[in-house]
Order: sequence, then C-alpha cells, then structure tokens
Amino acid sequence: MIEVSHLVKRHGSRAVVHDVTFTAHPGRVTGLLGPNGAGKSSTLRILLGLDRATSGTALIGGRPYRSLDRPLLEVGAMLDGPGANRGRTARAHLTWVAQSNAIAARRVDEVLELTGLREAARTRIGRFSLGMGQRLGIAAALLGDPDVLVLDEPTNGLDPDGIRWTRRLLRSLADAGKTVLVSSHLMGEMEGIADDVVVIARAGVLASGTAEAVTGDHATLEEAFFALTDGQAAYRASGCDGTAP
Amino acid sequence: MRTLRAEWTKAITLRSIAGAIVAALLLPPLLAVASGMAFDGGGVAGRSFPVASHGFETAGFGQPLIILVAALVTGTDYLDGQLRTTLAATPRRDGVLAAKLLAITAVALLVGLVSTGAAVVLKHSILGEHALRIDEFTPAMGWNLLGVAVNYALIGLIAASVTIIARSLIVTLVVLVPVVLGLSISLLGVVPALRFLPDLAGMQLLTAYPGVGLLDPVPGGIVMAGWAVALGVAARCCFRFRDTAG
Repeated sequence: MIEVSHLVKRHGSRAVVHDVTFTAHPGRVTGLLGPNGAGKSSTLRILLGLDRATSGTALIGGRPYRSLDRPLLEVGAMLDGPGANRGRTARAHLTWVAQSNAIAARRVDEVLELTGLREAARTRIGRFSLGMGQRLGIAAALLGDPDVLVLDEPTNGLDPDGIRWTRRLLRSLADAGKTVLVSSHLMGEMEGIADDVVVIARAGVLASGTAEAVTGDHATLEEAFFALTDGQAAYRASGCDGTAP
Repeated sequence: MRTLRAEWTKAITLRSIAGAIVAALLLPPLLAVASGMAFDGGGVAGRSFPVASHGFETAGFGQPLIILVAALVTGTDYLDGQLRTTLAATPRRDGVLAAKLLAITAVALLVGLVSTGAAVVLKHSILGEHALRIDEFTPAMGWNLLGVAVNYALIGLIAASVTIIARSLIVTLVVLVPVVLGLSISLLGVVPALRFLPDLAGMQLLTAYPGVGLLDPVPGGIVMAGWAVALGVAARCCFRFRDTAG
C-alpha cells in the first residue's frame, strides 16, 4: 500500500507539488493523472526517496522508502525511462541493479524473458528503441518481484503493440495482488487500465476515487478530466483556430 | 558489500572505464620502453639522471588516466538518468558514495603498483649497464612505488569528489587534467604558494623533482590527503542532501 499525505514540494517560492493526498491499494491499478507541470513526477520521486518533500509524508507499507534495506524486493519503479547508461548492455545493467539488492543472477534472465528482451540482452542500451528502453525499465522494476510498482508514464513513446503489452502486464500484476501506481497525462490510455484514479493539478488533488466515480456523468474519463482541469494546465494553446476562446 | 559489488560491476561493464584502466596500465610501461631505447647513457643528461629514478618519470603520465577513470566511475551516474536507478536501488547514499570511492581507490592503487612497477623494471632491463639489476633495486625505490600508488589513489579520490560536487565529469576533466599535465608547475616559479595545491603537493610521491621548490614526499602526501578529505567531505554533503532532479 502507498500512502501519500499532504505532500508539498517547493523550489524556493515556486511550489511543484501542491498538497497531494491519496492512497494506492493492493490488487488495484491506481492512475495518477494530471496535466504537464501538475507535479506527478515530483510526487513519485519523493515517494522513492530521490527528492525531499518540503512537508507531508509519502509511505510505502507504512515506511519511508529511504528506510528500506533492500528496497527493490518491496518496490519496483521506473521513472522517465530506464535510467541506464547507454554504453552498457541490457544484461550488464540488470546485473548491477540485481547485485545492489543481493537478488539472484537468474532473476536477470527471468525478467529479460518476461519483458521480451532476451534477444537484446547483449545489445548496448544506446541502440535500443524507445519501447525497448521502457521494457528495460520495467524489467529492472520487476527484478526483486516487489509487491509495489511505481511507473511514471510507462507507455510514453510505445507503439500500439507495446501499449497493449504494458496494459496487460499492469493488469496481471494487480490481479496478482500487487499495488500498481501509474502516472500519465494521457487520459485515453488510463481508461480501462486504472481501477482508481487520482487527478492532480497546480491546485492540488482535484478528484480521487474509483475510475467510475471520477468519470461520473461524463461520457469518458477523458471528458471528466478536461472538465476538472480546465484552466489548470501550465501551458495550453489558446484555441484550436489560434484565437482566444 | 552488495553496494560495492554493484558499483564494481558498473565500473567494469562500461567500455570507456575498462579502456581507461587498460590505458593507465599500459601507458607508463610503454613510455618507459620508448625512453629506455632512446636513452643516451654517455651524455651529460644521462649521467645526471639519478639511476634509481629510472622508470618513475613515467608515473606522471598515468595520472591523467586515473583522473579519467575516477571521473567516469562517478560521472556516468549523472548521465542518462542513471542516478535515479542507483539511488532507488540503494537509498543509503553514504553507502553508495563509500562504495564508489573504495572501488576507485582499489583501481588506483593497483594500477599505480602494476604499471609503474612494470615501467621501472622494463626501463632498467633495457638500460642494462647504465641502470640497476633487479637484485640491486633499493628500498627507496620500493617506497617510491608505494608513493606512486598513494598519489594515484589520492588524485582519484579528489577527481571523484570534484565530479560529484559538479555533477559532471566534464568539469573534472577540464579543470584537473591540464593542471596535472603541467599548468600548475609552470606557474610555480611565479607563485610559490601553489606548491600546496593538491597535484603539486603530492608530486614528489611520483618521482623526485629537485630544485623547483616542491614539498617533500611525506609532508606533500599529507597535504594532498588533506585536500582529498576536505573535498570528500564536501562531496558527501552534496551527494547526501541533494535532490536527484529538479
């Protein structure tokens, strides 16, 4: 379980995370949604102990991430791509990540197989396509067979096949009882994946609950999102035809 | 321990780092062979060169490669977003830093002993009658070899700390490499206080540079170690408290 409570992050006087509170439950896919600049990635970085919160807490299984001894056994994460040096092979990357948490070497082969990267194990990461890079990030997240997964925009840049693969994977992980937290700025993509939805923007949490509850009377989650976030985006074109609305 | 193992794997699985280590191992012995073959034992310069120092003059050329290794080991984490992966895997940041510095120290000591040791042996064997047989090597030469290893370890630690403080290996390479390649020693005559700079302080650990006003090996080594500790503490503060992004 992931519990984020009144999380605030400021850089000087500029707030990047605005009093975010939500819970992600085991066995469910939770979608963290919001326009660009809403603080999704910052929230996830704080959750993973990479950045410090100005105030508030972000706990995984009741504990802050930095207090975990072998965190990859409890939490798997991918933030903004695989985070791997381009000069290393996929296998070498996964090997050092596994070693850092004393994870058995055979797990490297298992996750390579699971993510369809077996053939590319000896390829240098610099030659990977965007989709292969995302798969590598997911492979690293799955190394420790954790109960909690945190994925930032996992379908960014994927082709339709890759998107379908990711959706099925997330579903199967949640069905296996894991807590899955996924951020996205693409609502259509979350439609049908997310069981629960948290919508954040510069004003904080705009809505949270089951996907049905957040969609409400709107035809789709996407329409509900636009109704919620109207005027909240950091950058938005003035009008389709170039005139102010 | 598992953190050290991971950092070690990270270091040796990048071709750039493995290449720099191999180059640091090979360059001094190759230079020793070349200078040994070009040596004119009968000339004035040849006779004035202290015989026990043969081979050690190549140690200074390995130093920039040690800096490169240290900058790559620490600096590659700041490329491709890899620092996120490193710190998500090991949130104990002091442990990560310690593992990196330990790996760099081990490589530097090993390279110093092996490459300079080989350079000294090769040069003396090539010079033949103008130099010493292996059984004539003096204890002072042993201390000199140890001095090279210590110098390499300290310059490696300094380079690693500068890289972490700057979050970029480019800064380290642009600042430190020209300095050790002669910038600071060429200014020493103008500003004698420069002898307390980290590279010049420990310079006589590599080989004797008589008559230019450098610190003696042991006090110089202590000054250099002081720099390494001070920069290491600064790097630790930066590394421990900084956000990974933003």
